[in-house]
Amino acid sequence: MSRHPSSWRRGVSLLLACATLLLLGTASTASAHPLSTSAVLLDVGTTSVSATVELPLDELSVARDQVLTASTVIEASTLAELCTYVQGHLSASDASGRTWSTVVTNGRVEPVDGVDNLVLDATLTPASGPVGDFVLHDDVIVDQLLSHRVFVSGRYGSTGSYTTLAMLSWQTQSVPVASATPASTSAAPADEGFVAAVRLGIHHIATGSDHLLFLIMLLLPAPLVAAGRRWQARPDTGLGGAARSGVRVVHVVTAFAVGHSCTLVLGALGWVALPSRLVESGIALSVLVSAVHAVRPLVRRGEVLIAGGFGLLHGVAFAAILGGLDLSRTSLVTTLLGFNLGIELTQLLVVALVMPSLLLLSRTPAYPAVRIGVATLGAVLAAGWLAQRAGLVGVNPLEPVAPLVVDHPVALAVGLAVCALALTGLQRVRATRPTPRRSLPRWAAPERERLTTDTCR
Amino acid sequence: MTPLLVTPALRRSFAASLAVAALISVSACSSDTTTSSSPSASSSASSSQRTGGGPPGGKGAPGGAMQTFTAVDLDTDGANASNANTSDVVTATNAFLATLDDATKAKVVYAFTDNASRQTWSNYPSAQVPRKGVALSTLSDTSKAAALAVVKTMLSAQGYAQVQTIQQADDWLKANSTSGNSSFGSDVDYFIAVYGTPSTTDPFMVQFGGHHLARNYTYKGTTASITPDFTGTEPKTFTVGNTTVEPLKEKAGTLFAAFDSLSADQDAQAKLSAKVDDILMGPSVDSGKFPTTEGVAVSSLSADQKKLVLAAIAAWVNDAAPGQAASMLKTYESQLDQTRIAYASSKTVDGEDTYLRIDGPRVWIELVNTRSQSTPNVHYHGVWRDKTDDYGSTNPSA
Repeated sequence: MSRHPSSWRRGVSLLLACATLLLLGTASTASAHPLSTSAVLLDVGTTSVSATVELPLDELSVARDQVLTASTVIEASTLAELCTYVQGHLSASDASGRTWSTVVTNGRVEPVDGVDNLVLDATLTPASGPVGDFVLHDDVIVDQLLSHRVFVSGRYGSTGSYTTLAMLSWQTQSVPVASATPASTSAAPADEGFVAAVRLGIHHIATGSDHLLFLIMLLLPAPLVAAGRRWQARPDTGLGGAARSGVRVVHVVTAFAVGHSCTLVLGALGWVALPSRLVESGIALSVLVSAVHAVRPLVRRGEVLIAGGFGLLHGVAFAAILGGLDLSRTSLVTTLLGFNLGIELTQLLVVALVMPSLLLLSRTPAYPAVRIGVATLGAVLAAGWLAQRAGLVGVNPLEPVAPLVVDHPVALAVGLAVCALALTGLQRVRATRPTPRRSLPRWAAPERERLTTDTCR
Repeated sequence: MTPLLVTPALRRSFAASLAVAALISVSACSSDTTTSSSPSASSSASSSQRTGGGPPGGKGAPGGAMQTFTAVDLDTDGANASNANTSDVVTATNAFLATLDDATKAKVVYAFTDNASRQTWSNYPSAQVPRKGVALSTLSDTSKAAALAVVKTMLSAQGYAQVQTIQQADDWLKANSTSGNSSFGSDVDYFIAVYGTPSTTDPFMVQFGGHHLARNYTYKGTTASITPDFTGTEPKTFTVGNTTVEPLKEKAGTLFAAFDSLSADQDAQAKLSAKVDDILMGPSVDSGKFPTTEGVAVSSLSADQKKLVLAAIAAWVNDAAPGQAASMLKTYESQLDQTRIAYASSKTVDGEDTYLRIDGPRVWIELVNTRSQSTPNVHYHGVWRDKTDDYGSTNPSA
């Protein structure tokens, strides 16, 4: 393979194009026999139970003997009829057999796995007193379409994942539901939706060593400038250079944020879905590409392109995490915002911890060695992940290494800062004593020096 | 390293399962549950409690489990058909097992008491619902021939031809499916498993099936149980070379003939008020509970119409080896006057929700037009069950 810069550039462009195509061109995997099922998502509270009722329009049409489309189903008269219908077929009763009140409101159409669903909010309230154990009865659609299935799940507090409670069918149309679980009652007050989502975002990126490594690989060359196929120290030292490096970092972080936010939203809405193996492999590839870029610039301003392009792929993975929450649709926007905020905060924290050290280090003769060393480590880890995720190897021999990075972030950041300060100090001391430059090993030659030698070649 | 997550897609596909009875029984009793699963996507009712975060790069795995199988209690006292060719099946099965190395044999043979595995059959392709035993594609030519010889022995010539045409449909899908499922195919999508030790005295079972096919034959001495028996096909008709193949031509043809014969008055009695768009007694619906009997009484039909109903039943029963098929058919014929036939929505061949049913004291047959993403047209799902003999058990119960 030619090492000419333009072919590198073409390679990266091709890679990014492929990733984008994969994202745009693939719908969720088709199954041979899709069956549209209803879902009832219960939020068990202390004074009432809220339920999100999802009714696939195709099945609802058969059951109601009328063609219901995304536009006709929300016409006022139709919707009123359907609310009344659901109200009459969804109920709860307590131990004494008393039926609670059911109120159904807020009809809207949302896609679930590519099928338009009529989504309704129902509130089930005991006749008197707090919510105790109850039995949920539901034969919406099933009363007319016997082969229909209703998936019932519940949770306590307003966030967290839903637990499957039952699959209702022609055989069974009711399921007992406990009023609360001991664990959830204590955890619930602290776990408000938005905060929990922020926490999940922080947790995810802070413990996802592949996301962290991707970011670090992109930050490595940020204090430098590309000249042809080499990295060089900025010719502009001092605050101006630092500011320009800072701008570069902002571009990288923003590009990543924009990229993953796009696909996070699309994925959370169910519009984009990719096989997880493909996504996981792509993320490993993104780390590898960014590591290579840190060694040698692949393309001008490549870190912004890489951050944006592969950010799309990381977003798909984030969406899968959100999917794990099994969101009720009403909280989707809040959760998305919170989750994304958590991711960005953590990203900025990493930048704040690492970037000053990198800036300092970049002015020492050791930076090329540090940069190439860290990038090589990243590339090796990424290659290991890629091989494992693509199924080339069963067990990744490097697997235990990555958690070392994640488990001790502060120690690593402090270590990096200490190194940076020590090397900077050392350089100052040397600067006061004349040192013959040629005695330095070639790899440690200051990058600023290369700028001058490069022009001679 | 990937944590289990229930994404909306997974939830939905899980919801698509026919696991109602199974799920209910999870909470009702402590039976074993096995889930059709792949390492990345195993899911059960409880796995949705798992949440995100965790190991490096841990994200969800969409897709996966379409069905959950929960063992129900099965006895061996089913009202089996007599005159079974058990000794021939024992010979053929032993000959097949003798061609296998120990590792393969261990994958083929299960304990007869492994009820959850015995109940593992489906209308789905094996990619969606992994089957027990081994795929034909994993066997040597010798072993594969011996496996098919077992199937041939269990079945009549008509029954074996039915297996072949259903497999041909899967080959057709492999070449033509719009959903691009490369896991279709007569070799990769069909599996054989043996439960217990083949014996002319003690109970054992041979299970052969895959996409749109389930043969669950349970032998006990000289008697045999032939149900649950699933046959379906997608598409309904296709051509191989210059030949038109219609896998369910006989079963659907005889059944439609019976319903077409109904007078307006009989028709009104036969029509169900509810609609049905897939079989009700499908895979993992093994609670022993059948829908309430409805429809027009066969006793009220003319002699010619009764013949048509019997012919429709025979189209299913005669897939089995002749001795036990004749015995079973005689039983069903004797109960014809207590049998009813019913349909839902429509009884036209290509009707959107055409659903036909024969419901007797023992016999239960359903045929339905259903939809998929693989082809644009409706296709058949059909099941034959015996209310007092499924899995050779008098009364499977959750």
